[in-house]
Amino acid sequence: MLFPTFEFFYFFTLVLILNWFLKRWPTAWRLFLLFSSYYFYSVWDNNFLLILVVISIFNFFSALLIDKSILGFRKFLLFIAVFVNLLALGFFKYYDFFRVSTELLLRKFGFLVTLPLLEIILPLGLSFYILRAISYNIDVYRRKIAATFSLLDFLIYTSFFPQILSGPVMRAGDFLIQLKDGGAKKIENFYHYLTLIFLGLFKKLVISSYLVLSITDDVFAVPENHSQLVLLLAVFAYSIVIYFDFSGYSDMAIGFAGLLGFKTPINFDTPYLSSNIKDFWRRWHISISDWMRDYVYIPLGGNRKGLIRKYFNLMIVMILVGLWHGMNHYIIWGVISGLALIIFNIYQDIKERSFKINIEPVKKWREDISKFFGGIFTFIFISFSWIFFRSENTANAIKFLKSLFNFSKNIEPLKTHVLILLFVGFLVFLFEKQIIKKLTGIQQRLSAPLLILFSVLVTILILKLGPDIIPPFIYFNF
Amino acid sequence: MENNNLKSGDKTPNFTSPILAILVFVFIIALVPFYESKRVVIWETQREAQGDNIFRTAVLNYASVAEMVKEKLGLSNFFDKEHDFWLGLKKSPVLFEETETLGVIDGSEEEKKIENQQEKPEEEKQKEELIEPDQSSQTKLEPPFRVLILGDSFIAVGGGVGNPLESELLKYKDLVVKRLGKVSSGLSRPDYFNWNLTAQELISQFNPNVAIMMFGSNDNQGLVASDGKVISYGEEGWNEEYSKRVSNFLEIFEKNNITVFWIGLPVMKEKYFSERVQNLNSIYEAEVKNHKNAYFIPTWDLLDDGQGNYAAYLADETGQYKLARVSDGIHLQFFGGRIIVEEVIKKMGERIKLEIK
Repeated sequence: MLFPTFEFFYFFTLVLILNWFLKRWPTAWRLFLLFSSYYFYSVWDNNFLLILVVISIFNFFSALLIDKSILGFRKFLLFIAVFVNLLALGFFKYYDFFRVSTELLLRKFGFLVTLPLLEIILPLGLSFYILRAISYNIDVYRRKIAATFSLLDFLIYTSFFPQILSGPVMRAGDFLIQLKDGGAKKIENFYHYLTLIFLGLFKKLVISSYLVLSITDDVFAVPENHSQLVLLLAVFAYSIVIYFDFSGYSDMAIGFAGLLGFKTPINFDTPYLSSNIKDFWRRWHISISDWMRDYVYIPLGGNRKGLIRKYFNLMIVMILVGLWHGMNHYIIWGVISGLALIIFNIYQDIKERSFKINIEPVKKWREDISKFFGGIFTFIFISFSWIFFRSENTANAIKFLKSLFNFSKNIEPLKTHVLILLFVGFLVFLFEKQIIKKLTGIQQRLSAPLLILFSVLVTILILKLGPDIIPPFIYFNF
Repeated sequence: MENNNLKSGDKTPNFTSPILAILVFVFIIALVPFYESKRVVIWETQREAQGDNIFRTAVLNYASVAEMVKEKLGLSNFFDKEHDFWLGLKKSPVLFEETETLGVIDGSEEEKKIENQQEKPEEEKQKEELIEPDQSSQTKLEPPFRVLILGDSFIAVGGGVGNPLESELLKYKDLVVKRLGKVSSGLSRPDYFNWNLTAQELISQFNPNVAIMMFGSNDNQGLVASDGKVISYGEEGWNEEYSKRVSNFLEIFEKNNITVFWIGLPVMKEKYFSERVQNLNSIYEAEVKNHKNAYFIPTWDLLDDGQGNYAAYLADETGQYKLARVSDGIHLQFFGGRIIVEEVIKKMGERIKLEIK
């Protein structure tokens, strides 16, 4: 069940009613939450559910053991827990890659071996809930939270349906507390969540899906068959596609969870308005960036062990971010992003140590200019780095770049609707916060019957403007 | 996570009774699918299902009831017109039509060739008439080629055949390619996507002399015959009706003197689906024979395990096993796509003069 489908809306309405009705019996309510999450997940595949249950139960007990064991043993148990989680992730995600590479390596030494051919399907959302499980074990180890004694609560945490498929990767400490005593009694910021659901639907159906179907899919698949201008447009279109697709999903995830009475951390904070690359990574896919910061970058020493070590740590983090998405071209994308981060950090480090102009008006003026141009440069750089992210493989990414610099091509006519969608896309991401505020304000002022009418009309309008088929969310692949 | 990240927006919090949220959603699910019943049916039946569930069934039943109610109240006409209005808007030539649908050609030399080619459709016609459908005739179609690739998800990006084929063809001299793949489409449901009309439009815009097509993976479903009767798959008359559609489709290309290569479907994972696909393949093969300059390219044996069964992994030229099929048991991975593309190019080379750049 994808969020923007009728069947999901039917499912959600039923869950919404029972969720608020059952709250007076907290245990029944929690059982219901688990049941509805498992039902939602099992619609994709029953085997996925089995894997989720096994991994969840393992992590429930591993964290309890870590919490309750004696000092020296705790580290060892944490190591085992993290290792098992990473093994599961690696097995489901990269088994075939390792099989092919190992076979090739063995062939070089004269061994003709065929390792087991396991047609492994990556369970949807696994990459996300494994991160959630790892963070839980580490937080328990660090004594930031105590391991929960409630298996039921923990199972809800790993399977909560608005977040299971693509995050946001919420920390156990933030989530479990919301299950206490039947959770929230009223909906906080209802209008804001409703706005997020409509905005998410609009981002996915009207902007992202159309751009995928009308330009990015075809151009990235066969870049050599397109002119430079179209390739350039596809680069920026993909920037919009990936942001609208993923942030649209996150908006809806936050909105649906919010209507059930759950607060979720924001996952995107208008990232394309960042003034530099460091800022961008703080505002893009925040739950993953924070995860990497807390569980990889800081344990590696962060910026406390000298500049060289800091740059090295940044690179490791970005390579891991790439690897988390996949092999080959994703790793190249990670390296490119890492290099950019390092270069920016070097620039900042040099700037900090050098002579500073301390006259206030000059400083302010200089800051504004550097923010403006920095912002444009960052957006262009990020857009180009997506080429390695989007292309099906490294060869295609190189083909794309080559075609982009092939000046002997003829001009290909541009599709007007692509230009319009790009323009609307730019407007939405430039003024996203204002749009959310305005829409929320409008809804707040409406009386109940008018709000209902407004919601129905907005949904119909979004559907009318949407395409007749919806491509799945990009982040379901990871 | 810091608590400040839990903020859900920069406004003062307010608390609302869940009743309002419930009312909003109850009205959305009651009114939107009623208003949009046509789209519900198309959406829920034409997109790839993630497994059946009660909610899907409920929506579909509700939509069919809505359709009935609309008809009884005499509102069908209004909703049909309204549906067409939005469809028209979304297909508006002002917004969507490309002024000229040419592929990109390297350099000005090729451009001239294209111009020449456009000038001589008559000449082309005469030449084509000389070509016998009979295999013994070795006259190959001469370049330049304008190749149109069309079909369902196999031809769309992600299906495994369309884009690798487009890429491969671009390696040949005097050749431009245009590809249109429409997910979930076929010849069964023109109400969802009308390939006959689309093909005619594409032909008039792009003026191809070669067409490659692959259809059928969504076609094993009920057909609405011209008299309005619904024929379910497997019922008597289904094969005849479907053959007629294939024939009509091929006729469009025959009339325009376009050489057609019809790619057959490969073996599928689900046995019942595989059997249906085999039936469709035999229809395509038979119909293609009835049309001039149309050729069927079977792919069934290319992707089986050697004994006619489905195989997810196939050995490459070095004997190493590579994943050839997507986990849905239908579509192709890069490696599987490459096998079919190689075969298509080989078979095309027997009929048209392909010369590598």
